[in-house]
Amino acid sequence: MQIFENLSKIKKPIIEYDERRYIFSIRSLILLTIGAPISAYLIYLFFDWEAQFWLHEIVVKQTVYFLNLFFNMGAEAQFAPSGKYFWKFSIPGQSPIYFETFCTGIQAICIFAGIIIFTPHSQDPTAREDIVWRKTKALIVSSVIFYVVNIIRMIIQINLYYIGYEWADIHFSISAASSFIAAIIVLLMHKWIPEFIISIIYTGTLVSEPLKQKRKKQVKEMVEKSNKAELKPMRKILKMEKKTFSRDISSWSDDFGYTIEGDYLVIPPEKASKFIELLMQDKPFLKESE
Amino acid sequence: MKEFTLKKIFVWLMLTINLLFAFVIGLTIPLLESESNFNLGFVMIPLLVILNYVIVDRYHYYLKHTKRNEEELDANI
Repeated sequence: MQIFENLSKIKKPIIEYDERRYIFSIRSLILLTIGAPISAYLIYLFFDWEAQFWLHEIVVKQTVYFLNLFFNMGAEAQFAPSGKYFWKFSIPGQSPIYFETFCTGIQAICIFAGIIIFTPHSQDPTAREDIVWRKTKALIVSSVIFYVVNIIRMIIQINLYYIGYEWADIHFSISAASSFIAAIIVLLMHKWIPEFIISIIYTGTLVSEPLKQKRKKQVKEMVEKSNKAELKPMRKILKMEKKTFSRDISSWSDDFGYTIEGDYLVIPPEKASKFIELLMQDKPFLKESE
Repeated sequence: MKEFTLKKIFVWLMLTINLLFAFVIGLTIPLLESESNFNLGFVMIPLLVILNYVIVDRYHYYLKHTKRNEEELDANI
């Protein structure tokens, strides 16, 4: 609870993206991390319930229709309830393939539905104005793509099985390969609801903010005492690359009129108060002209 | 005005597709062999009702923006 109290005291960062401003409440970010996985699991459980096995029938029958249309295979959808398998594909000359909830691809739809529903809305009125429309669009398009890709996956697998490949060889490999579509969905989702990726970056910024403040405070105290600052925390404050740090820091210190002695940055006494002022800015050492 | 007419046609198209979805669901239910075939309607129709609201909300959004643009145009004149 102490962590949440500390976070709520921090001045909230604002992320600007595509001419829109994104500010999220801490509550909405927590809701995303907890709500998305729980809701995804609950939606999956709902469709894994026997009363919802109409979905199995629709998927099996559509697959069989396309198998017979494209390959003239003579495949059939058979209703034979036993345990978790209610439907099976009957393939001529091969043993039947039993169908379960995982074969519908609903698990992928559930994960994205959970994420899309719980993606936080920006507190900026312009950015959140059409969020419901964008979320609905993302939800429908991602669900349709997953559904269609899943049927294509089954058509390919069952056709390979029909022509003689071992089911064990093609089942897991093609199923895993078809999951590449999730990457495409993430990209599409970012087009319509950039709030998801931005909320992850936002959380990172929010969590690292107390650490940044602590670092600045330590540097400030050291400069007040000895007119010196350690180079390691300065690198982090100035967000300089580790590889090019020694080169960058010397040109930077020359610009501001500081010197480097060993692992320390030495600030002339007359420049110490200005150093602290620049250090404590929201964007440290950013000149006004920048 | 032309732009708004296009948006109106888009919303009309969306509502028509939504009605067609409802029709297809109604047509599919008696064809299903599963014991729980009616659940297809119980699950999908509420989703279509929500989708209907989202489309109407979008129409409201377009109206609001067109009105705002017209007001800005009048103010400039």
